Amino acid sequence: MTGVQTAAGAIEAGIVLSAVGGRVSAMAAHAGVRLPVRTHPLHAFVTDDYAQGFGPIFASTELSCYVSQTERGQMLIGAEFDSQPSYSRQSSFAALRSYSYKMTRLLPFLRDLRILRTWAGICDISADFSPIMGATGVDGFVITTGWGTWGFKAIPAGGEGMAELIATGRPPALIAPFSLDRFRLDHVLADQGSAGTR
Amino acid sequence: MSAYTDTLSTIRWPDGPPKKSYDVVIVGGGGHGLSTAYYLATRHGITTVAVLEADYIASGNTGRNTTIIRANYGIPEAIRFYQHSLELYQGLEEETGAEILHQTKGIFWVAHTETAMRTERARAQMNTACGAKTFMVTPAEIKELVPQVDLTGGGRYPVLGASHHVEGATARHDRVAYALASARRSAAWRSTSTLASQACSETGMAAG
Repeated sequence: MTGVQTAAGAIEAGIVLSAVGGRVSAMAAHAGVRLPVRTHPLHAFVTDDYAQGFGPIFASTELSCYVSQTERGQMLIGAEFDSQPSYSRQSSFAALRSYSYKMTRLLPFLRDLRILRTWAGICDISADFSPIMGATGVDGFVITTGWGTWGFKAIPAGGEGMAELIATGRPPALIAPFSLDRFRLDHVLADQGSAGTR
Repeated sequence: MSAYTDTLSTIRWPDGPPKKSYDVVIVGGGGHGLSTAYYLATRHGITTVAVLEADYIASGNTGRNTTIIRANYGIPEAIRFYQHSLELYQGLEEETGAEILHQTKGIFWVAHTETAMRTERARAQMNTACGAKTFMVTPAEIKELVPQVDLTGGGRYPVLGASHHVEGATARHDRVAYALASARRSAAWRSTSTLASQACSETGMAAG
């Protein structure tokens, strides 16, 4: 890898990192790298304000849904990703109905709130539901991907680990197990039950 | 303007077009791309870095997720990694000087069946062994901390117990991206928003 081609022209690079999200498979294919990643939409919504306040984050892994209150007072609800892979960011009424049904059983006060806004993201989900960080097999091209529905919480440690890998050429111990090689070596990190989603 | 926007970090966009060459080019101006650039600058002194983003900063999943920070995973490799990340988040406001609205709230993962209870018990034990704070709580304890809960689950999803991940937190997602992109200690790296990484041609990333 010698650089990237952009709309503003070619840029040379000592090393290229793909930190692309949902569309990572297409990006990696430019370098001839095939990833064990599929992209699935995930939906979320917020309600209008809940005046009483709701302190914790509340989740059911069996029902694959979770709720918390934003700093603005809205109730924020998310759930499982769509089983059908897609690059679409369109919201789905079916998802909305499913989450609403489950969460109102556990937290009946939600029935009195109106849904204010709904949106979707497209999640790069790896074959073992764990992220992929490190070498790609192409010289000068490294990757951080497979962040699925758990990438936000990993932003500081993922960035810190990838920076050390780029600076030193070696993955630090904390990210080394998450190499792309693990799929070839059959050292998969299967942890779907902790994804908070399925 | 509001109290909210008044305290938002300011990103210093580069003047003019990107250079012809950088030590590191990062494709993707989301949380992980920006974070890598931030740590390259602050921990390794590598500042000749370009972050390419086809849309606006944090326009992908970084700005779309439900902002939960937790380390209650089921396998040691993941627990250790996410616990470290959770701890870095706890210090991120102080380190960057940016308000990311980080709040430690605690997370309840409730179980509705005995099978799920076993899973949560195993999770609590594995978390404890690997440095994450997760403990089992009874329905009565859940009710005390979450008074709004219907422990019968509407007669359909009874709450038998939960694992309580006490350091679980949230932070405002776009503020995290802005904190890392504005990166007061790493002003030298350049974040270019005008480039379309999706516009890669067939030769795309030129393999060398």
